[in-house]
Amino acid sequence: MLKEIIIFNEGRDDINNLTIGIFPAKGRYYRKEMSNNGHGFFHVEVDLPLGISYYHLYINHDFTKEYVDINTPILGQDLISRIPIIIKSEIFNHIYFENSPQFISYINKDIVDIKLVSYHSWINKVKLVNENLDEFDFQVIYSNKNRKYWNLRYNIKDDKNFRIKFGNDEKEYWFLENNKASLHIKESTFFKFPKLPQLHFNDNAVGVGYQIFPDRFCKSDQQKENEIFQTWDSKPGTYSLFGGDIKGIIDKLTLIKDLGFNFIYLNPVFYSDSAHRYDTIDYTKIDPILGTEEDFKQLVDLAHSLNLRVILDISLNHCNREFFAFKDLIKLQEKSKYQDWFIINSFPVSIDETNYSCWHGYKELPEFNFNNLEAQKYLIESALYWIKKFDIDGWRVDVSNEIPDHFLETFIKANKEVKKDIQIIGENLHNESNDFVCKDGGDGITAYSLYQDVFNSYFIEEIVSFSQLVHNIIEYIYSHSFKALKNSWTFLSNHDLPRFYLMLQNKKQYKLAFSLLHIIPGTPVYYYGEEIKLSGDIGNSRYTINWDEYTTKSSLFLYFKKMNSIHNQYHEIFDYGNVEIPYIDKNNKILAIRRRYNNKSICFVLNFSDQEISVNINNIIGTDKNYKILLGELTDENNIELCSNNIVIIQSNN
Amino acid sequence: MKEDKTIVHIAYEVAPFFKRGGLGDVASALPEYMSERYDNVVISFYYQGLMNHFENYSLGDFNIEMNGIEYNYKYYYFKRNQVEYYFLNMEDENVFAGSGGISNLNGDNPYKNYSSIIIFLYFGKAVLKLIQLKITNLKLIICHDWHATGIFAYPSELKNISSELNLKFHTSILIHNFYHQGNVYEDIFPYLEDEPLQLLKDLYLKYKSASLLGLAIEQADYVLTVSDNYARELNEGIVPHENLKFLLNSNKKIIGLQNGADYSIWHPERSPYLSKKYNVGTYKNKKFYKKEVFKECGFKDDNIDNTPLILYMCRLTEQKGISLFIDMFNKNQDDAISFYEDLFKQGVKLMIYGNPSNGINDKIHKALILLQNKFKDSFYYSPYYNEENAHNYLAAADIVLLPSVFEPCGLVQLYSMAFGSIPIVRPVGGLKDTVRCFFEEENNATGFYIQDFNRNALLESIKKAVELYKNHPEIWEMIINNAMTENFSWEIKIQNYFNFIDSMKILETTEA
Repeated sequence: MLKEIIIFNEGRDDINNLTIGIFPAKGRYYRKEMSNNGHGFFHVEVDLPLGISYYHLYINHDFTKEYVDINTPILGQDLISRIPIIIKSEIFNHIYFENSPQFISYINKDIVDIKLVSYHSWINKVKLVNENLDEFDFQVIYSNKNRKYWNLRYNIKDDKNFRIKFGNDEKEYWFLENNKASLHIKESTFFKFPKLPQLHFNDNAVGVGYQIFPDRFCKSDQQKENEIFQTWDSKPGTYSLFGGDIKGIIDKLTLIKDLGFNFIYLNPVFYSDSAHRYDTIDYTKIDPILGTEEDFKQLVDLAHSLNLRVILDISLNHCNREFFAFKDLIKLQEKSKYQDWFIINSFPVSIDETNYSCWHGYKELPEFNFNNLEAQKYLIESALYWIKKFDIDGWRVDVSNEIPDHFLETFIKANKEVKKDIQIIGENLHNESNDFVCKDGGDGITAYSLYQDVFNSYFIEEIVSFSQLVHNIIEYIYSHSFKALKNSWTFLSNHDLPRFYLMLQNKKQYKLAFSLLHIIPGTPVYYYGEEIKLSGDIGNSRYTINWDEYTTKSSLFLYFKKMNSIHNQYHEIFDYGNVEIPYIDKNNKILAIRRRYNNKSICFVLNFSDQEISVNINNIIGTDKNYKILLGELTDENNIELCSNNIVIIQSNN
Repeated sequence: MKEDKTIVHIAYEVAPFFKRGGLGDVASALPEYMSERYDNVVISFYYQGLMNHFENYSLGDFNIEMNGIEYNYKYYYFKRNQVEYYFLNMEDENVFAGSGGISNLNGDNPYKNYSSIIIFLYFGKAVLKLIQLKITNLKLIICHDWHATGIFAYPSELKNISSELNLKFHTSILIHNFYHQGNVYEDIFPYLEDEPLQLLKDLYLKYKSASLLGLAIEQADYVLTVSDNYARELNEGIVPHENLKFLLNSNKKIIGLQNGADYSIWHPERSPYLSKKYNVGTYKNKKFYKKEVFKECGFKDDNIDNTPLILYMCRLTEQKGISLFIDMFNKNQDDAISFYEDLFKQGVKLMIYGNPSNGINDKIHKALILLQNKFKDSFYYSPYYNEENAHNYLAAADIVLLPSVFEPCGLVQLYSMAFGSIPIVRPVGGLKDTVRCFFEEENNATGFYIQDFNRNALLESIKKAVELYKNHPEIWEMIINNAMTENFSWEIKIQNYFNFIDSMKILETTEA
């Protein structure tokens, strides 16, 4: 859809040109010159897909400095300071349901999870009606004003079709496929259950992860000194190289295991000439600064022996200018057989002209042409090499929403054919999991929307109220398919975001925020150093760990360990349980979130206030007397004692 | 002379029953003043639990079908002065109360759409049913802003009214603010009823974008707005609004009808809130209010006569120029701080009063609090708007700032002139029509212009005004005199509406 963007600029006469950089919800970044209409504003019309896109600005063709508005430059690696363009409607209907994976998805081969929303308060019953006209009630898991959020776990046995009925004690309507309703059943209108997708329901595939930025994590004793290395523990600059290595990671694997993690995720390790290594020179070679292929083999083997999976980062969209095919192109120009691997605007291809497609306009990062089969084949073969030879367990696909679906689909399929339970997570800043997971066959995305709408807006910016926080959590859950929710990575910081502890306003809520990562459906990924509140600055969260001062005795370390151990012990509930809000007290900022699976449940009772409050336990778990308190304590047998900014975890059998 | 014809106003809010901005004031005053010549009916939303001055009403109801379900609509009816009011609510009483950002009352960015456009379509359909049931002799429907344009999504119903009532009437959209327009995106299409779907799809095919305002512009017989200059800016496409193409391609010329001020309330002689009334002859009474406000703000008043009080009073949004007073993206407010340092060097006091955009959780409020703490001696900020305070602050202020990015009409400058507080405005939209700049028309001046939208220009204008205030009291008195004798009353401005209606060439009742 066409969207006009207007930037007001009366009075700053040093601005002659504005260029807008667009990050579409789907597709590649591009820039467009804005027109100065002479009345104090610049104007541009852009064609955008549905969803949340973003933009930033450049002034007077200076493409080295990005701005959020004409007076405000963007600092460092700040991914969040972009202006959103939301092309998305609020739906309002009696029932909001579509027969699509967002609303209905398998949690195992028998059970489907069905979600829907009703918008009229008179609706207090929603039922699934099967082919035999048996009725099954949906449960309300949360309600806010007129809106109710419903959920049903249904064992489909041999069922093929279903209908939905809604209403109240006086009247009931059939929900029809075109979002209409009817008092009378229409024989011809029913929904078909989705066919069981060829999913592999692998319990080991999720859990809790630990992200490592290899250059900054740990430098082993065997690392050869190199004059280009900056002193370990000094403050990193944009191009600093510290010399963290794979042997260093190996040294710390048992520690990571001890903290209770199930997998490690490494930022890129392939041969490159930068510290972040997203600009790959050779996709089939470990960066020699990090170590050798043997070191890497040893890392994966040791990790597997500790029951830790290893997930790598792959930058498929773009490469280094030293990448062999691009180098060949620069050298041989029109005669290069690799010319179609890239997108070339004109010959001679020149780094100075930047007359080739490059990522976000950075000439250092030429982008692949995914219509070229040779390039596709090369990238896929390179990825498979790491699975076949080293048995790695997954990929995080960098900037996946900028890569066309047809290639992602082929890439994912090829990987899963070689290793069926390989995890493939797409980096996505736009909250769009549906294409990547439901169409392309990926497992999940990086949940930036959860970061933005929940963690950033409540804990950092403090721009949403407590009740809005709860609403945002529910909305997050209801906008993704169950599979995408379960597998998507949730996080409080990463290599592209400032350290959470640095940004957090109320420092007492650090643990509370982490507990939310566990109870909200998803795969929590901790960023190295979070267990010791590693420092950073707003533009840089890639500081080194000082291992001499590292402690495993702090209450924080023990808290993370405890949280992970609960997560591991009850992983079925965390992986497959549905979500309920059994208790919410908006005045005292108390929230209980329960996950339930196979008549077992885990409930987190969270106190977001600065006061100690006690809550009657029956409000939270009902009548089960055999509950267990996994974390926290009771004041007496009827009441939970909730310390300020703290949490109690209860396990019960109902 | 009164004609036996009815004007129907459809509005999202009507003062004093429910009001959050100038729209509510106009939707209230316009029908009252039009009653001189026509019968007037106002149809608005009933906001469960949020209505004021609501008594002696009678209740009625009717059913309409939407997406296959019969819904019962309740309406609250009463007559006040000469105007009849209907407030509509759905069977589900909280639907409207939860719509349009009302759920977020302290976050006053009221005209933005926080809820589904479907709610506004349902409302429009119900309005049509109500007109069918209750209105005779319909001459003109005025839809106030995009929230009220749902009726245009049901042209077949509009036609029915015309044939059933056996009369021809006209429809119009009165644009109070083109900035907000009820955008429609493709993902809502599967949830629309057939008739709205077809119309919005057609609009979308034509423009690759759609909005309820765009639909109204296409369907309405007349497109109106609230000042001549804003109409001119819209016609020439020189206002920073998106989707001007709906207007520019429609070959409808937008007509500017200047809003009036309601001097029955907004006048220092008749204000229900001022204890010490005054007029152009006794404007020195302002000092009484100034002293009160200095006390309230904790400002030292030892040199009060030589310390101008500057008031910036509005919804604190980007449209109104809040970005000149804070750094929108910088938490530390570095640039804004140096602006305040320069400003306070002029020996002035500044008061910022109004509901902050997105409420007290958002950055505007937080930035202002931070700045207030830094400049306690000279700067006071209060986020909780009410009319009593507004009157008292207007009476107290020497200077009122309106540095709007754009301004369809603007009411605060009209009020401030009446109260003898001199407006410093950006010459855009209705501000240009209503304020005469001292540096352009010295002897007739009623205020000052801010030439560019930036802090330097704002500061420059303030400096010039303060210089006159301090060193040329005779000139300042002349400006006050000019301002207070300006007359933008509805009694006068309503004539524009009557002229417009006369020019409509209405086809009167046609007997077959």
